[in-house]
Amino acid sequence: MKRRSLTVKLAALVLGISTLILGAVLVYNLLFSQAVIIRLAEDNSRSLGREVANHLAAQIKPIELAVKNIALALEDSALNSREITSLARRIVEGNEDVFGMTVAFEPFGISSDKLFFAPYSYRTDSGVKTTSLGGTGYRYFYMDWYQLAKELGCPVWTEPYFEESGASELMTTYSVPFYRLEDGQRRFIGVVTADISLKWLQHEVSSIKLYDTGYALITTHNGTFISHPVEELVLNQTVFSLAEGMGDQELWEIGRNMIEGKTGFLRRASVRDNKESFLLYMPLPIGGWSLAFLFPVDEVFADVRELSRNMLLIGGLGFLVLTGAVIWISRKITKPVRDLSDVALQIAQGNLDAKLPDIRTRDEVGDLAIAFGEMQSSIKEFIVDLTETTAQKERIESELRIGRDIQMGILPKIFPAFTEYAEFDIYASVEPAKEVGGDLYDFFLVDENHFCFLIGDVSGKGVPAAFFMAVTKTLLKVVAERGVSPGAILEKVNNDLAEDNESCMFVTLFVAVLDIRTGEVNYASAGHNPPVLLENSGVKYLKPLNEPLAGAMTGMTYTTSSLTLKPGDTLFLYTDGVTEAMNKADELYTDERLIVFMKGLYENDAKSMIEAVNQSVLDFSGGADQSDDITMLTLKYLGMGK
Amino acid sequence: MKKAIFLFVVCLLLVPSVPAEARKASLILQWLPQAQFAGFYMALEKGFYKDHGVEMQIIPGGPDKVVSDYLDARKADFGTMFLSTAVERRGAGMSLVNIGQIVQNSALMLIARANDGVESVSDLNHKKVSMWANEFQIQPRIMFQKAGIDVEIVPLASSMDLFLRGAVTATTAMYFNEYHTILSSGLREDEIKTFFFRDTPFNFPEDGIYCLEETLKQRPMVALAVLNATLAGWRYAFAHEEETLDVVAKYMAEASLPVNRVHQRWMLTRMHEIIIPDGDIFAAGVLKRRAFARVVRVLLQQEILRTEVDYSTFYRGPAE
Repeated sequence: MKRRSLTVKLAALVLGISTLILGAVLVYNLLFSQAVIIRLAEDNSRSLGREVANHLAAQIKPIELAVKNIALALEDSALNSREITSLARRIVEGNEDVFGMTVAFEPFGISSDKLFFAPYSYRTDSGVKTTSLGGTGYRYFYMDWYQLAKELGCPVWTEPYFEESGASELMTTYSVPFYRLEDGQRRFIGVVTADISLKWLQHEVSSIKLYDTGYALITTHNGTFISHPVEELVLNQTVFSLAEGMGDQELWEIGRNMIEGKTGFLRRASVRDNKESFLLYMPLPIGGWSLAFLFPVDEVFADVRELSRNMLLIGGLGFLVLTGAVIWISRKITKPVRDLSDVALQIAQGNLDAKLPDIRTRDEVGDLAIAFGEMQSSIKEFIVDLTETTAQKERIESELRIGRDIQMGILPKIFPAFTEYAEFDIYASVEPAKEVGGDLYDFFLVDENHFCFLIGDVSGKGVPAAFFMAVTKTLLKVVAERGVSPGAILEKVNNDLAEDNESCMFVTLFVAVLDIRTGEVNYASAGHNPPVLLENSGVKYLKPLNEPLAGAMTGMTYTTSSLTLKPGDTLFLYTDGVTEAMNKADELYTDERLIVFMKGLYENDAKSMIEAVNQSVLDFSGGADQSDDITMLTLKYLGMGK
Repeated sequence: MKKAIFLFVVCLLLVPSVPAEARKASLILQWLPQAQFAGFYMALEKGFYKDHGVEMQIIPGGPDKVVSDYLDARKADFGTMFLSTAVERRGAGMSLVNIGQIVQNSALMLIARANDGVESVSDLNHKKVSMWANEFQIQPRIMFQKAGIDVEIVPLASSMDLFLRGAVTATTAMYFNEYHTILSSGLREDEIKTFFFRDTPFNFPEDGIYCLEETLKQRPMVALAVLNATLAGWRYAFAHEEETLDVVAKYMAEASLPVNRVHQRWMLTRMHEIIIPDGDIFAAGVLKRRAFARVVRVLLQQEILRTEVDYSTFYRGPAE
């Protein structure tokens, strides 16, 4: 894993978390304030719209009332044509918001000889003028302003139109039908109209400024634009034809809502400059007319954006300061740790006297420094102790080595031995294990015709085993030289060893005495591994006698068995160091392997036989640690003939 | 297509060699400038009249201009009229001749409000129906007669507001014009019920080019040139929609009319359908004997026409 300093980790953690928090705060702030701003924008545009609507209402309501009053007055048939004409004229003269006024009668409505009767008073630069409408070129009763009121039977505002005769202003007409009772029936007589200019409305709407580039527009009952910043839309297009041209179904639906007098607030691209905008539409007090505002989203959010940008800036600066602070504090914290780690490295390299940094802070690092100091002095003390202990151990080991040498020295080591006797060939070897063991062997002449040879293995290891072995060997020699049978030798030696054997040690022994003249061998065994007899006819273990170990208990009896070696026959004695030698897989050499191996060794002399077995055991163990002494003794009987 | 080109070339060859001085002619349209007359304006704009040796002056029509009066008073050499109008005038003794039939099918229709429960013509019984005057009433009136219903006719000028505001249940309309106006005023197609006269036995050919018999006699080549140039204008208009809409818009603006390109595009497309119905380019300019006979029969039945009008004296355009 890549090494990262504490400073980096700490800084990454603290700064990472603070970035997350800062980000969350910024996003929340942005979203929340956007929502608030949208609500405010909607409220603002709504109240602006209401203002326009109220203004329009204030303008048209008195006119509507005046026209209705005249219509009411006309229901009285007492008025003659002159009075009717001057009535309308007076209204125009007295109301500067009224551009013109007509009282139009049905064909032959005023009298049976007059197809047309529609006096029209209107405003000109040089005062109010009156004219008569109607003629073959202008059948006024087919005009919308007449027919709508007549057919709908209620007051109506007509679709706006351009008044060509006057100042080419956008006009709309308010028409109120009037009726008279004739023959008990309410009969339609004509309409009273007032024309008003919409110039002020257009001006007012076009001068509305929402944010930087927001704009307002008005549509009529048919969805026709009568005020829109895109001049070519005005009176040319309806919302619906615009939607069709743009392939914009949403716009079509908006138009439908507008002419149905609904209110809506939504977000969409503006028609004027295709800018993502908020759109608010609301009805105007003239039937089916709708006022709409569009204002670009980015302008609405300009303040929020600035706020967010500044917050981001402050956050960023804070972040930098925080970064500095975190790096400073973490360096401050880790400095003593780093110093300590430097000293620890020196100590590890052996400089136990390295000077500890002077840390006096009363915190975890201070504690660490104190603990470190204690550790340093403990290590020093320990090293002193260790030096002493090691010296002692070395002395003991040296003494043990000397003891070992002495122990080994008591075993006969000079070969070839008894070369003056051609009747037999003797060879023995001990391969001591690292630890002091208790294997022993010996051979000597009991008298001139009897040769004693033996092998044994003391239980346990170490100095006690070595001593026990030395005692056993000495006892054996002393007893054997009395010329008693091997069984008696073992009985005597057992009793001697068992007396005062408080450490409960014991020894396995095999003792044999060869009659040099006959080849007869008397032997006894105290729990020792059965020796191998190599005869011309084959190789076999001597039959085990199953008699107890020596030294454990007094009063044991041991049988003396006998066999006769023919010339060339060999007895091979060994300790369990041979058969229990282990390889690296913890497998034993085993009796079976030994007997099989020895089958080919009949012809060997004593020495080469031992060397061969030794090699076999070495090969088997394959360099595994030797845990026990490997002791072997070979007696080859050669007979008298030689 | 090859055949069409061949025919076109033959037509060009039939035009006599153009004299050095252009021959002046004037033509009055039956209504204000709009895509209904795109072929005439394009022929003028692209110089097709000039190419055919005619120095053409187009007089836009309007509510106060009656084409037959203009022809009668020699204020215009040529004029466009509904076939039914022209047949009626001929029957009344005016020496009108058709030198080419432009519109083959009737674009006249009735539009009713679906939510007024109008499913068929008979549902209009005792309902208010706004209708234009004169020739526009011939087909509806027969339809009402055949359906045995009595409708209250409200005279209709040029706006659709009576219908849009629900003052009438149904209205006459031209498919290429008012139908789209109504849709452009916020009504969905499924909110209106339509009755097309082209789908009835009263499918009258509409706009044709007319002149007085004496004009044709004196200036037969000019009459032929006017027809061929006009047809060329129409072919050009259908092939160059955007350019044509620009030109139409220009003439509309000159006449101080509201210009709505979407609406004019609709109109131009519909004109294509009725001038070259079913893609039959051989029909262009031709007054079919059967269609003529149909109109005459109906007018006689309606007693609008009191004497039979003969096809071959009335129609002097390209042979069927």
